[in-house]
Amino acid sequence: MRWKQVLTIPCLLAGMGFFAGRVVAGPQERSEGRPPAAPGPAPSEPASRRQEVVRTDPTGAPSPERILDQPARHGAGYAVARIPLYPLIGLGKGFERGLRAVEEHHLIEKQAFAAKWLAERHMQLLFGGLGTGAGMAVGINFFDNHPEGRFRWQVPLRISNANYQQFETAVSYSFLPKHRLFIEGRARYRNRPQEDFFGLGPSSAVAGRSNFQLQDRGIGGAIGSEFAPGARVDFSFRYVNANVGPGRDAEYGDTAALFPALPGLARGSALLLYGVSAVYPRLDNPLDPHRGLRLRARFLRADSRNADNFNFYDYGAAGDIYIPLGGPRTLALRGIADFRSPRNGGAVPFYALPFLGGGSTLRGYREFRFYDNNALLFNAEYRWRVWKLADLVGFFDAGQVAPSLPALDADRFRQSYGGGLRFRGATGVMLRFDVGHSREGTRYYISFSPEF
Amino acid sequence: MGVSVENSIAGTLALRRACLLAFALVCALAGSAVEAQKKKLPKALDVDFDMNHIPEPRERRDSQYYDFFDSSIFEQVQQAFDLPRYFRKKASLNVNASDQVPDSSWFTNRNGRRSMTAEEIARGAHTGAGPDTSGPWTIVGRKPSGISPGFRIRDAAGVTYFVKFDPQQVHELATGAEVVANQLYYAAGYNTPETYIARLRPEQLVVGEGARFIDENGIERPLTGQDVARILDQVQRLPDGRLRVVAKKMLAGVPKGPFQFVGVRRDDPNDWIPHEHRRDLRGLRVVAAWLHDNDVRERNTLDMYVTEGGRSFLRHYLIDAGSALGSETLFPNTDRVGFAYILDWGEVGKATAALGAYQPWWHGRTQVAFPSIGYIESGRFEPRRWKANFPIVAFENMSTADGYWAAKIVMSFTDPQVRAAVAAGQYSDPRAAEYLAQVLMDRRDRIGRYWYRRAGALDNFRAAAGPDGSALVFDDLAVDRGFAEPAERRYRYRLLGVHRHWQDVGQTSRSVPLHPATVATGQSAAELQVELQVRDAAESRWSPAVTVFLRPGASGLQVAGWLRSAE
Repeated sequence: MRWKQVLTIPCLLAGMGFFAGRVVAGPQERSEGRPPAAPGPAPSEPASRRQEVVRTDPTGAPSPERILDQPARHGAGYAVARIPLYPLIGLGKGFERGLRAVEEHHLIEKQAFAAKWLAERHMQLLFGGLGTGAGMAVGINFFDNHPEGRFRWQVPLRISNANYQQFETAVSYSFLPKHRLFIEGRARYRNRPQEDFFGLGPSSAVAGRSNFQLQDRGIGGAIGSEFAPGARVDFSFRYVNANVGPGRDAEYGDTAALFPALPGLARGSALLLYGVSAVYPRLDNPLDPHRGLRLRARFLRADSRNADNFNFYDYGAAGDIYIPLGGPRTLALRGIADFRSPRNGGAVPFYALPFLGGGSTLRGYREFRFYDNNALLFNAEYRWRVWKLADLVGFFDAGQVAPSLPALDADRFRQSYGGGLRFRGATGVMLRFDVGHSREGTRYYISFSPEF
Repeated sequence: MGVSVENSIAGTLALRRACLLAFALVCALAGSAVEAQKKKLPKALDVDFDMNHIPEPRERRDSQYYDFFDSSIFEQVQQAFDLPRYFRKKASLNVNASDQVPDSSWFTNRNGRRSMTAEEIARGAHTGAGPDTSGPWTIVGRKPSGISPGFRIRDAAGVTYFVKFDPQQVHELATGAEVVANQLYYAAGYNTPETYIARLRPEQLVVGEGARFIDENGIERPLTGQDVARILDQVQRLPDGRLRVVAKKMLAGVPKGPFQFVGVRRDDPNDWIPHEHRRDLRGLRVVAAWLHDNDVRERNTLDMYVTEGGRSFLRHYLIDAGSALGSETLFPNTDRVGFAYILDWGEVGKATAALGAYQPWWHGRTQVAFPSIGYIESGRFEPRRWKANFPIVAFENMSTADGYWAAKIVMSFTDPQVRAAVAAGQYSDPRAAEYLAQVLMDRRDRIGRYWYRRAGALDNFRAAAGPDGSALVFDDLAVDRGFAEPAERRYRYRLLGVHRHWQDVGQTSRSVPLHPATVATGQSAAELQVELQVRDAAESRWSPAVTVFLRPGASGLQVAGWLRSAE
């Protein structure tokens, strides 16, 4: 053992001295003292081309001197320290080529031109818009929404990578300018092949996850008034025919098998819904609000059009408030109350019940985590700008579902909290990253629209 | 009992090993510390001949989008792994024995070496009278890059220029800034294109046959008169209907893309010195701060493959100063300019940590005294804190010695020279021109005051014979320029290898006595190295040391050169 200890000392001294000397000394001292050497071949050039460097004038006179006798080189420690960066450097090279291609081929300008070209032909590409749990959706919208025109129509068609589909048609006619009195007609087909379901009620178990397929077709209309920009009140009606089938996600069981007694499972439903609704926004910037409020309310009556006793009231209210806190800070608050009230001993099809969970409601819980007749939701977000194009948020969500209004209890709110990052563009929030945590774990969300 | 004895022995051995390791570390560091005291004088070269003939390199393609990510994110991460830079600033590599930058394909000593006349300052890089406006200008294409409207034209004499206009409502802002900053960059020593102000009637612009451009939809197509008219509708016109333009003469040679502020160009065998360690590029930070040129970046540089003296090589240019002074090209500077990067991680960190309670002090403060000048002022200008739009590695590597070198160049510009450069901008309002000149002069003085005091500004070393032998005499430029009071200055020195401790120089003396035994005419005495420092009486911190090298000459010791500490 003793001879090892004796050798250790000089080895340590040599190693420490080498490293410390390289660290403390500057590159000038490092490069001097070596014999001058011809520069090595440039990696991008064949060795033969490197030797074409003419070290004399064409007249043969010796070339003047360089301030350094040879190329400066970094020490060995620098190269070693950079080793962990090599994968990143490779990624960076690929990223550079991609961005260079975008610029050299003017892809951003061409994309804007394509959007303008499509708009001139009454078309628009769509991204997202199929709601929570549907995956990444794309689509196309055929439309004519001329602000001065009295007749407007649009036909948005969407499909997602999870094979969710939604096809709609909407037409409206204004009897008075600025949509002061209008009528609307709408038709919609939806196919949602793997909707999650954990059971009814606030105590549903996360282990009881199942999935079902929902297909519905609806047609309806409305008559109303837009009494201010974005503010409207209307009387609407719609007929919706829904079918339920086995979910396409083989990883989880079929809802019909796990919850056979759910209303609406056996034969779907055929409902006629009619009632009034109103929206009132008063925001400084609807696309990126920092001050103001937005209120929504509805009261609908649902009558079953087949033998099932699916007769109920569908009513609720929602309010968003944005409070500027000075400087780059905003407090955004939202409250939602969503109720279904069976009539005459009837029931509500389970897929028509309000739900909580997911990136738009309780962000620490899975999508569609809690279903029941009544739902309350409160969200609070503290938003502050950290960069010209980016905001950080901290949020707190609280919500509960209950079978009846008396069952709603202040002690039964499910809570989640977390933070997020928002990237903004000219049209508001363009990209949202959220991380939400609850007693059931942590969930991550990416979305192209703000939560509220 | 036996177990406790074994543990005791093991513990003792472990303690001994720890002591040995600590001793080894101390020895190594001490050894390396001793090694650092040995200094070697750089070469006494006036020209770093990086202009040898090279084969024609490929054109380097860049992306301004990637430039943003690279400078703001990737390079910052890479530099964070450069561990030695945390312990010691790396000295610039292209410094000669006089602490100057030799002439090269990057830089030519001009006003810093010899005071230029006002006419030379105003002329800048011009080799002629500028674009010929006596006849039509043929448009051969749109400007290849940049956000301001412009064309590539051939003037009435057939010479090619890139022309840019002033956007509406900001008359003279971009054109004036570009010319003024360009002339000052040239006089400071950087390579710039010939840049002129010209006036012409719109009908003189005619579309050349075969002229093509990339329109606003990203589609390449022939340029038409309607396109030109649409572009000219967006630009400012003079009261008589003419257009005022800035015209940059096309540089001689073949363009090979921009140069980077870090690394070397692999296909240029002359490029030996990593750009982040070139003093001319590091010091550019000071000159850019003076001119408030926040858009210094890779995109606004250009390597040209030129042929001179039978040799073909790359010459390196700064090509776009349209965002200098108070201009942001299309509008006056915003409040952020000069105080924070476009993506400033420091500001983001403060805003994040403060949960929104942090507001930058410069936020919302813009005072445009004259629209043609834009937003530039000197009252809040802090030379050390000035920032370009993007982090630049070479700027971050700038040492005090680099800053001092550049500050001397900036300080070399006299008031008449500054006014001559401003006059080149041809501002129609003389009050605006005078305002700009005053701001530049004030910013110049602030740069001098800061860097001269920080670096110590001991300069112009020379040996002089004294009654007791030779003496090393020096100037204190901070005192000479009025940035420090002579009575407040304290100097100290030590002869390396002779003195173990610092010696005081007399309070008002700028002379270091040299030991007679070391000064013997005709003796081949060893090289003498004298370290000097200075501080103000009220300060505790001494300036970075400057080491003066003296060698025996025919009439005694002669100053061979000096080397400033890279702090």
